[in-house]
Amino acid sequence: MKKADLFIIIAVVLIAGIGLLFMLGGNSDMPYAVVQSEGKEVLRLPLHGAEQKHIIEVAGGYNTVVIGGGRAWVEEADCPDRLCVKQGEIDRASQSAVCLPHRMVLRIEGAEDTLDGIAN
Amino acid sequence: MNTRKLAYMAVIVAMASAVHFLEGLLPPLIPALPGAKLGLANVFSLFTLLIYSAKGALAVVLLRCLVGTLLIAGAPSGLIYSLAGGLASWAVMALINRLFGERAGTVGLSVAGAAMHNTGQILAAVIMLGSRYIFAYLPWMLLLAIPTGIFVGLLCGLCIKAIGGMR
Repeated sequence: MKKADLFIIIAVVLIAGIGLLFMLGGNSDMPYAVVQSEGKEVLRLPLHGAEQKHIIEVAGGYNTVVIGGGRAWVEEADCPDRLCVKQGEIDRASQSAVCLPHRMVLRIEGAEDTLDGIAN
Repeated sequence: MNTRKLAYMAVIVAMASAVHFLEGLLPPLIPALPGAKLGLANVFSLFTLLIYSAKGALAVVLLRCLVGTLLIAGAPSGLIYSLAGGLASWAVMALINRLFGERAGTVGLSVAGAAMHNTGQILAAVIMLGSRYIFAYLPWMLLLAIPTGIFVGLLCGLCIKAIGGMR
């Protein structure tokens, strides 16, 4: 390993660190679960409402998302990799579950103070 | 291009395509990060960049993305992600190699390449999905690029030591 190599590694760590700091500086509104399909918002539900199941249809397939009780997840999908299902439950702002083949994004906007989440 | 180089380049492209394809079959390193992988195919682009030229490495990247993706039937969107990552990674490695020359080793080049590969793929996903929230993955993907980049860089260094004199 050469000196320039170390310099490059440190630069990448710094850029990632700055990005993480930006992410942690999120807002503290009421959290909503938002579903985007093919670039358009198709569903917006309060995260702490009653549990609801929705089938998001896209060209060539579907994703079943469940939202409520303070969390959201993709329960079922017919995409080839099913990574959206494997990403599991999300419950905090700026988290998301993404289905690349179906161009579907499930994410959470706004949230209560993240410190509360840790203290719990 | 002489016949000897043509033959070696063909072998490199074939191996890179096979590795690209096989790596696509593996599950992601971290389930919460789709697209998180070792990036073994970059060994071949980096090897070509250092043994031959930036132009040769570009050919390896383009051809392995095409062949590697076509081998996986029915995933045309995969080609866009592969190309976005591959081209971004090639561009930064070629640039650093030109600017730093011998002072930058395989590890540094590979880490920079891996970081730009992930950045390129996330940019492509942001454009494809029309959601800038995907940027939230970027810091994690950059951190992941460090161990995977070091591994690939060390591996490429070994390859150059062993067969770098072939050209």
